[in-house]
Amino acid sequence: MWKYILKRLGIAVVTILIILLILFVLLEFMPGTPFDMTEGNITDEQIEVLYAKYGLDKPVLYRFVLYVKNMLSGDFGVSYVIQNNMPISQMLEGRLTLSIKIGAQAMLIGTLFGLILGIFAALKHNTPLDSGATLLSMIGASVPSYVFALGLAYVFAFKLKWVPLLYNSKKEFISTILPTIALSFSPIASIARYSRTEMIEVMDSDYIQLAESKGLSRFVVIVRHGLRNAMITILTIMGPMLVSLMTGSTVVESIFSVPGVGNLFINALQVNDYNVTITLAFIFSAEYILMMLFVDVMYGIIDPRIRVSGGKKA
Amino acid sequence: MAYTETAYTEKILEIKDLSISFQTSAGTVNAIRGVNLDLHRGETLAIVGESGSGKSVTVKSIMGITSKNEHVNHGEILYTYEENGEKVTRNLLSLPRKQIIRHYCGQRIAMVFQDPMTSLNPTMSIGKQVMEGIRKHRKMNRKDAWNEAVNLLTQVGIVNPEHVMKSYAHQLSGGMRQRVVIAIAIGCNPDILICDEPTTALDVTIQARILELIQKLQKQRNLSIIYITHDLGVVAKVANTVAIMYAGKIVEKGTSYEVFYDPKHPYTWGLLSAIPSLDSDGERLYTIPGSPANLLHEVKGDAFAPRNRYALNIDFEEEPPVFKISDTHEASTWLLHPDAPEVHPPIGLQKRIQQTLQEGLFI
Ligand SMILES: Nc1ncnc2c1ncn2[C@@H]1O[C@H](COP(=O)(O)OP(=O)(O)OP(=O)(O)O)[C@@H](O)[C@H]1O
Ligand SMILES: [Mg+2]
Repeated sequence: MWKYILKRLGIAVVTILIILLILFVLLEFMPGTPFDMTEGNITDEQIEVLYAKYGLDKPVLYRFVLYVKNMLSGDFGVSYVIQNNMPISQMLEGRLTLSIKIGAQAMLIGTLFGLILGIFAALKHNTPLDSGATLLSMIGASVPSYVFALGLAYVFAFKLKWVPLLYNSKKEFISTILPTIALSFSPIASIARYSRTEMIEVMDSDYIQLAESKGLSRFVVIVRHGLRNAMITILTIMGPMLVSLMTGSTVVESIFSVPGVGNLFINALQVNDYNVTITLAFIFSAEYILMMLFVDVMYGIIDPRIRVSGGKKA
Repeated sequence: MAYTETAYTEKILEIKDLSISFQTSAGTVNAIRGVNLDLHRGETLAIVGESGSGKSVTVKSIMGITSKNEHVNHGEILYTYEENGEKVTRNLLSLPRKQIIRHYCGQRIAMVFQDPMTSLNPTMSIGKQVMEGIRKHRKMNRKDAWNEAVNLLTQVGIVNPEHVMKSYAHQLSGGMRQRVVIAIAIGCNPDILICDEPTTALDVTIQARILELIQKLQKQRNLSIIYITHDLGVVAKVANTVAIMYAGKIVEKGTSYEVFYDPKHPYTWGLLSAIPSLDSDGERLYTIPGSPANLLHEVKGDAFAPRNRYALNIDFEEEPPVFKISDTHEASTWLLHPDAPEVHPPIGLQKRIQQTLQEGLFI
């Protein structure tokens, strides 16, 4: 098991390095110097000092190593446009935790309700209940999250006034409810769809019949024997799900004025703050890679065939 | 050993006029059409028949393992057992599924499935799977259950039980897996063991070992066994009583001796003729012509008639009743009617029966 985890960890590290390399190359080819914007405000000597400070006068390889070191230690440089010379790490503070919080809530709700809906549909396979659940998850999958966001905002914030319409930092939790729900529709839908298909197949397998013939309770058969095996496949969509969450969050955060990274990302794109854009691209990739690492470790825990063969499916 | 005429008198399971159908998109499939079967204590009853004849559906209905689209039209499954020192008889079909699962499945009636490659849960250790049933039904704590599981694995002939306990299904060979499944089945001391083609998926040498194991356990535990197979060779080795099934009905049943040496139903003749014999050098193996009956349509007359070269006109018109040949032997074919013309089994089969009667072994 440890060998397997170490291997996955190694792959994750290499992937992060490759992503950093791509971002670095992008930056290298970016026209102009970081000091174009500050033209006239600083002298040539000052520029030289800054060049030395950021190692811009050193060979490419050196600069790359420095870049990796900075990025990994959370020194992402400064923003040029949104807030001049504001360290990006400072801009991210609070924003990142808020976005991750909303994302994690949406993921949790999505997984939980998705699984319940999917299992339910699978057990009531080919009944009106199943069709209803399938229809629901189709709607969830095909309607973009901002539509839900607008609908929720209209009903619960504007009409019923149960929650604030826009993000209010004094009522943090309440403010995250609507964005969380709006974001969770798509994960609910995809998890429900996958778990339904997978549970139908798993519940039809011989080992479920053997488990039933042992006289185990229905719940034990479904969860301990069925769900655990179905999870192997359901896990595969966790990565793509995170991506759709991240893209969804950019719009949803804008709608509710949530001061999160999604919102910041849209902002940075609009005003062409490429340093911020690239930092966020790095953070999104890193999140994705961490997610995949988590998924891989989960595979190892759930599926002994992966664990013992060190990653190759037996 | 199969031919020793021990009297099995204590009826333990009685299937009466069982009829089951399935709703499919193509229509209603009448899979089981009035099955009658008895199982006695200590007996091995073999059910033989082509693929799709309804063997699995019949035995699964005993355990309450049913599909969503399955419907029991009528019938009874009477199970007689001892409870608090008293004999009780229950109709399993009239009990709620929950109750069957809680009180019968695994504890009184256990099952071994056809494919050991797929009948173990791939994500759960063998130990957990063996312990699961005993912990639940015999209310053992972890440690006792562990010891009991090791004990069971030893009984089914696994030499390194402690190691196997910690393994997963994919690490074991087919034969080993089937031993594990058998260990699970006998874990709670059942009265009845249902084996649904337990050796079909295994290679020949392993098959023989598993058969021996089942027979050994039967003697030790006085199990009553229902043994499903396509393989009449296996039947000759293990069964006391044989039931031949065709298109959802039992067409002939009797002691192994009666069915092998005095078969009455043309379908049984076909099955027996199809057994490869040791000295059949180069002879073409006999196969029953045609394909199994389509149970989507209402069957008129004898379902086997279209494939039966001895079929009488009435076979296409009216369903044959059950004719008794002896106390234990019966068959449902119009050929047994007093007015029917005299028809004998195919010459090849007659010769073979003669020969084996002299030699004392069918195959
Ligand atoms: N869930 C189901 N839906 C529809 N038809 C079914 C279902 N299960 C079984 N059947 C039908 O019932 C009939 C009997 O099936 P069964 O599995 O009992 O056959 P079998 O005798 O065990 O065959 P085999 O030797 O291949 O295992 C078949 O014709 C099959 O098509
Ligand atoms: Mg079968």
